[in-house]
Amino acid sequence: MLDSSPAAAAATSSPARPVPGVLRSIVRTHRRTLALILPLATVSEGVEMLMPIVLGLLIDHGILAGDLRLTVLGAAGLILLRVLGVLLWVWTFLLSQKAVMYERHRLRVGLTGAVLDPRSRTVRRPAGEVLSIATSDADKASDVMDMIPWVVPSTLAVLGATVYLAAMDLWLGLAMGLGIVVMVVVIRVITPTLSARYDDQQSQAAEAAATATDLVHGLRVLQGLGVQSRARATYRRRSRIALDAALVNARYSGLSSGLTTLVTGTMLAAVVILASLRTLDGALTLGVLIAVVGLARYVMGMLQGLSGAPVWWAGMSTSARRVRDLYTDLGRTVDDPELTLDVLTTQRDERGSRGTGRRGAAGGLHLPLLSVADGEVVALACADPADAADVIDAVSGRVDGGARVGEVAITPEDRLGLRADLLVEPHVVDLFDGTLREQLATRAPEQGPSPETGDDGWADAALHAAGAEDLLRILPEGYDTRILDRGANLSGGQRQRIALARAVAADAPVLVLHDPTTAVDAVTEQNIAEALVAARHRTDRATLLVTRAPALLQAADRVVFVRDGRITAEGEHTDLMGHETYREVVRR
Amino acid sequence: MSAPQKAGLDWDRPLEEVLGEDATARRQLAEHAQLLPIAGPGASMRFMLARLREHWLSATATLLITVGGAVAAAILPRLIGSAVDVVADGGSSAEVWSLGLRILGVGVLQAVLMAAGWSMISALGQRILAGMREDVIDRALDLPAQTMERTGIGDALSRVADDVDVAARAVNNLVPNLIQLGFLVLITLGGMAMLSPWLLLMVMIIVPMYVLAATWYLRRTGPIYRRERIAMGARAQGLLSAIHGIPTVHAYGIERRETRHVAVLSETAALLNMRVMHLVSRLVLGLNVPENLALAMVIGVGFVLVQTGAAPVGLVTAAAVYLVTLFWPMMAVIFNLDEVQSALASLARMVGVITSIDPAVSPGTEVPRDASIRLEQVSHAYGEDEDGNERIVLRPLDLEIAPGETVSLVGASGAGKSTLAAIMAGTLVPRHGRVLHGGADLASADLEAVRRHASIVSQDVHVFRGTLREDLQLAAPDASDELLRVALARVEALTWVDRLPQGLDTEVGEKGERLTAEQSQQLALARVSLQDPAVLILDEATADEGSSGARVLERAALEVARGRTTIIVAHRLSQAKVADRILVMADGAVVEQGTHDELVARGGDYARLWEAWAG
Repeated sequence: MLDSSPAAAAATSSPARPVPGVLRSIVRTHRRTLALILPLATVSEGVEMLMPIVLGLLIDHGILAGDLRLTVLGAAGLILLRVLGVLLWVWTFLLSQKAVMYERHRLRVGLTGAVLDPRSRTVRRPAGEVLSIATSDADKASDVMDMIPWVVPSTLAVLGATVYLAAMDLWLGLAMGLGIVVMVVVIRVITPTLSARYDDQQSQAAEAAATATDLVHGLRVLQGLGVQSRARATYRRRSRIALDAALVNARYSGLSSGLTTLVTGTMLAAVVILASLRTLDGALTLGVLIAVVGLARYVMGMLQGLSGAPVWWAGMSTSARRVRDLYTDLGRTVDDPELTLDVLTTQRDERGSRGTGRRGAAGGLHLPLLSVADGEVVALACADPADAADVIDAVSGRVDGGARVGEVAITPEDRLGLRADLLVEPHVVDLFDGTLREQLATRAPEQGPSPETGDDGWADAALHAAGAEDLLRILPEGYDTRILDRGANLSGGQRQRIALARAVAADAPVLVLHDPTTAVDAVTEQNIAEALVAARHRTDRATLLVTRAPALLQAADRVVFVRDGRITAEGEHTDLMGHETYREVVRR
Repeated sequence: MSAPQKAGLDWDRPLEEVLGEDATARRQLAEHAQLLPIAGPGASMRFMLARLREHWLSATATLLITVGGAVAAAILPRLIGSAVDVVADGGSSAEVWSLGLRILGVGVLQAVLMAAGWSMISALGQRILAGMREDVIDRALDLPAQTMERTGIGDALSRVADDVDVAARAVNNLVPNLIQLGFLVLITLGGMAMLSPWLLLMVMIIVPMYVLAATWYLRRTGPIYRRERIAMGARAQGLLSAIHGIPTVHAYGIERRETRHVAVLSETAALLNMRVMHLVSRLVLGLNVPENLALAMVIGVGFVLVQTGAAPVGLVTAAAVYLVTLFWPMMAVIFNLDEVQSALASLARMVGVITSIDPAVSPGTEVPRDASIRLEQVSHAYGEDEDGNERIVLRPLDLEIAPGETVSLVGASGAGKSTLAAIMAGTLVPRHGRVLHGGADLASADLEAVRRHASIVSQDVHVFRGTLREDLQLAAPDASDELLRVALARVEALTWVDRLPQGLDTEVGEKGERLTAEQSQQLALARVSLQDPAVLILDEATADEGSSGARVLERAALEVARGRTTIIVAHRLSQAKVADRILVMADGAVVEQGTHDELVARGGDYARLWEAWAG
């Protein structure tokens, strides 16, 4: 055991830089607020604690002694004290809540920015998990600003009460102290078990929720197959497993609440017996007796509340760790200066949303395999889809494949700077919530002074080039129709054509399209081929179509046919049709 | 006045300004009408009572134990008061010991009852919740596809996941805690009132003040919470869609725009939440009034009673201890009010789905006799346009399809192919006309029989969470590995399945191995093969893949379709060509029908399509 420990220590200390903790970052951000809140909250807590003591003394010296003046003055003083305490409390409460809300917002926006930033590392986590870290974990971790301003003053108040009791009578103080120690021990013993049960319940519940989400996502498939009843059975199984875990957790949390009640109840009994005996001995006055038992009762409630804090803390630090781990996976940190709220909420995308007019020629697109000069529309037909994927990876800068725009190399590091000149439309269509006009304007150059009043000529042209003019007829409010997230209210063909129109509207000097017409029918494909090529055929525009659709190949100026990673043939579609392998590949 | 603080937001900023130029966020927040129903407070209450009645035995036991625990807790201050009396009267230490032991005994009893009560409340809540979440999924699974298209699935998703989660968290801690505290407050107030009629008077004065304050608070916070909930939903949706669409986000360089969209909604939610916190602080200030009033009255009443000799000092002590005992749970209740409210909102959303959406029931008992399909004067329309006319998507149509026939639907986008396919599959109920499968009218047929009889595969693929085996077994729960492999082989998927790390045991779906679109579609076809329906509708099931993948899928689809009545909505005319009959559609009507050769010979729409296609 002994000789293994240095090795273990070396192993754990080897990671070079410590990763900044999230809770630490939160506390550091608000250290000034905390420095203000903590003393004031302690005062407010102390005032509350003073109440049973003052009340006890008031009963003794005012009520029992029949001193009306003292009673009235005492009552007035007590109420004044309470009003003061509550005012202080409200003030500190609002301050700490602001800190909590701010942190929730900051972590959430920071994580969103980090996930979407192209410079971050790519993470392979389900979107749902990222969402839950950015929402529920960010919320829970931020609760630290809620917890500290409550736990610290409460603990101090409990300790203060113990000191008061000890000052009245040493034995009382000792009894209270012993009670607190037992309480801490009990909490320490039950917290890990409780946390484990709670975690188990949460993970089973999350599993059930994920199953539910999954089934709703696959609803069309389930309904298509008519297997709703089986899906129902699947979910019921999950739900029952989650219920079993929840029932176990219910027993344990009941037990723990009972245990803490038992400890505090015993403490109360001990304090009452001790204090009564000491008063009978004449060591304490009746007023102090009343003050002491009132105080003990008050502390009981407080301890009961505090007993939940460790479980809270455990959940909080787990959440904070999950937030930190996501940052680490992305290659970022919680304190990244690029990811502050100021930066993320004010900066615009680099190409500039406003004021950027139409861009001129960029010098064409150049790959080791082929070049597309300005003014050209070139089609690339690959026998093996893997070759097409390699070309797409190279031009979109996911790998350094020796591609260039003009003289500028497209590399994973530099691709961001090229986005103004180069647009590679992904094959998998993703549409975001917004009107049809907003979809098309995603990256379109600014149209006149005001997009609302300007005419829609640019949009009409884009729709025409994408063979999507029929959408204006079909969609109830034309350009103002709201397209739901992921185009949920459209068919596959409509989605693909809107994405194509969006790419055309962007009017990028270099445009690369990957299988843009796989979801449309033959007639529409033919129309698209002609209109698209016509729209892109301009001297300062270069276009690469990676496709095997004959209509597009036919319309292109030149077709490059690639097989086994090499160019096998090049020329116009009609000429290449004499080439047997080519014919075989583009045949349907 | 001054620059915004470093670590803070401008909490008084109007929401209008926060939303700024983000039109999407503004639209999302303005969208008040959620299409899935939400239950009113009365309906929620009736529903919960009905569910409690179902568990009446454990509900009654829980109630008794909880009341017992609260009574034990309320006895303590009286015992303490008695101890003070013993001391004031100069009693013996034996009396003190006996009272002390009684306090201990009651404390132990209280602990036991509280522990049991907590567990029972939580368990009861969890049982009711489990039943509810299963009912919500039940209804969600039967929601018509059209409803989902209009609402997006966001609302349904938040019901089955978020709302269940919120409610479950509440049941864990909040509900047992609040119910116990609630009874404690009630019984403590009762205990006080029993000390003296004067204190009863005091209780009668302060209780209405508490009720008033709570009503004031809940009225104001309700609408704020509702808006916050909408902002949170939109925020989640924005983040999810940006993550799903990362390739597009990066290609178009809109990562800042998408981040800002989430930020705007997040800030809106934060500002709304802070408004609630301001209301909380005003509530606390307001409640200070009855609290201090009670304090003053206890002191005043105590003075008079003790001075007139009407009551011993122990009574005043007991009253004071009651007060001290009361303030803390009252605060706890207030602190949890917001969570209560959010749990109640979630409850209303779940109950809304359960009570307002009828579970799917068999409209009748007819069972399809064979694999034929017959449409009689079937037509369909969606909604209405500005002039109040129906938006016709399918004009009246009569159609007869023989068992085993393969029919292909061809036409431009928007011609009504998918609508007709869905109507024939029985997943869409047409506005007018009758659909018969094997002589059974779908409007009066046995639901499960029809579901087994006809399947539709669309281009929306989904790979379910879990292992590959579990995914396939959705279609055939008892199928052996041998059968599963045969089905996979039929769709040419066995080669890649065997290459997966754990074969059929490989985790797929959201958490596991990512399958390509083509593989997912093969899986969908394998499911159909296992489900083995007599009627198969393929709605562009082979579309949206590069043409090499398309060819594999085309072969797989034809293989799976063998021996079944098959309707194929085709983009590729190669699929139409092999069909027994081709229906050419335009503007919601069938304009031509016949075999490939007949239609080409006729020289109509189809012939023109074919010409364009064949190049």
